[in-house]
Amino acid sequence: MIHNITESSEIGDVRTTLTRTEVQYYDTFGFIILRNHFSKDEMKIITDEFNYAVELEFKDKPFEKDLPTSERAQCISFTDSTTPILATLAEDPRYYKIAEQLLGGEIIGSQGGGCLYVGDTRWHPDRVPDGRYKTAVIDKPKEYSRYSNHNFGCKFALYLEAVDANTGALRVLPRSHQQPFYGELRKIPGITDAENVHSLPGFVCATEPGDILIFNHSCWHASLGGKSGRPMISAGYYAYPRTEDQAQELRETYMHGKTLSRKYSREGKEPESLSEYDQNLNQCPLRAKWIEYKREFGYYDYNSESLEEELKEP
Amino acid sequence: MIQPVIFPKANTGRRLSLNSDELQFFDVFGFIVLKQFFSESEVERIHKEIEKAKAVTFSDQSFDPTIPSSERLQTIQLSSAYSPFIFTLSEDERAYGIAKQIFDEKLIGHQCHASMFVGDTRWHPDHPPINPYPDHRYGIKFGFYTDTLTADTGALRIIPRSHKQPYYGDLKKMPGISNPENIEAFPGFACESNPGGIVLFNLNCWHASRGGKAGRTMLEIVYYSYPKSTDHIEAMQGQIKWSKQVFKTRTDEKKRQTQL
Repeated sequence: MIHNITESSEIGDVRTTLTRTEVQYYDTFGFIILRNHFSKDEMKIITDEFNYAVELEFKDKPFEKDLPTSERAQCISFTDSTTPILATLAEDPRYYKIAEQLLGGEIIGSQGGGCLYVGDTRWHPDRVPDGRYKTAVIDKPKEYSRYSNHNFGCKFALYLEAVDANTGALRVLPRSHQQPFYGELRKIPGITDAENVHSLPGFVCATEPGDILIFNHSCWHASLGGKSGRPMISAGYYAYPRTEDQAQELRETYMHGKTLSRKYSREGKEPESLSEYDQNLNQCPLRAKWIEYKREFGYYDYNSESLEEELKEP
Repeated sequence: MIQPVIFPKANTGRRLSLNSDELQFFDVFGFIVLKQFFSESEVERIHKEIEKAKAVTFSDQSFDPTIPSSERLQTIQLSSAYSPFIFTLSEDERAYGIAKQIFDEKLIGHQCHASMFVGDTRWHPDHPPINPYPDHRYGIKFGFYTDTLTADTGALRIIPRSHKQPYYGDLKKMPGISNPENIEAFPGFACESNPGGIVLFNLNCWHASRGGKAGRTMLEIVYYSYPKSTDHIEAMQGQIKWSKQVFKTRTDEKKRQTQL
């Protein structure tokens, strides 16, 4: 019986693992929706904290409702001191233990983040295109060889408001996390054009507050029709690299993340909250381990200014 | 630009083939929706002919809106006498032209079929259990409806890409996929359509429908790739055997009901 898969648990049920069928579903389609992962009371706390973070973020420079996220993401910083629940969401066992289960062992988590989205989001996977950086292993395209089980990483997305097909719900292309589908999509003319979000047969992941959506970083996704300023909170995990190719991809991913962070941030630099996260003031052992892993794979080797040097000319 | 593939801005008129983007889309996803495939006058003609055919078919025994199609399919008898346009649609150069383009080889066309559906249709591919066609080109179907259908009123739902292995086989392993109550549980794409539009899909593609009214009428034209190996021949024989068995079962059921 699978019909409960997307109807899932009772409200407030604390689940730190998925059933075998749910894992099979995730592996087959590259995503899964877990209904009522957070209770209404928890969502109230999360929403209140998020709103406080928004207040702090836009205190000096107001939110720009007409600025598309594709031009500049208006992100929300979470810190241990101001938003303790959100700052530690990635360390919640309801998140990271499921990530461990899906990624098949040791994982590397990172600080969760929030964003107020404006406009549609074109089709894309959350992986760095091959050849983006000078250091890329171009003779072994990562999509083909680096992760035999397609489990480079996954993202947990939590929407604070109900979203559906016409109000910004995430659309995914089921199975697109696996090759050769993943690569064939890159070859479709116009697939990343903003006006073509309609044109691909995506599955709309309509959610209510409290539901979470987990999807493979390789899974192609998009959104359409959401109101300006729709809030989404996400946390990402990577499988601990087991081969040099995998380690290389993670290095590139960190590099790319910092490039984007600089490009899309309002100040043209990384948010200060990142450095506070890395201080790990509460001495969380899990976070300490992840920080060490990030150090191992070069996360701290790049600063924003030096990244331009690493980028290939288009 | 792939936008016109699913959402053409205007009637493209008579089309004997797909363009290269459309072919790529069909190969990648296993289906494509072509709007306004038939002209308005053709839609009208199809409508008139199908109504005549329904009158003939159900003259002795009325259409029964309470029998789910999963138990007994209520097919509409087509004939060159009272439905000549529909009867020969598989020979129409548009459908046949696209089929030839997709197979790029010899093919076997079948007579157009029409049925009145009752109830939901669980997830299934139109293919025997064994799939000896590694290139996924066993056969294709042109499906079209006489009514406007949406996701919740019986539009065909397709799991994009499911025509290809190993996805096709992975779906077979999903617990409960063939259970009628699980239609919503799987991430299908609803091919919403208006009269005149067609859904062209690979017979391997998993599909279903949900929420349609009793008696919604679907017409279909099927083409099979001409078998080229012993495996292919066995698959084709399996398909014929399976089709005849289904026909026999449904005919026996019809006889039994008539006797009652």
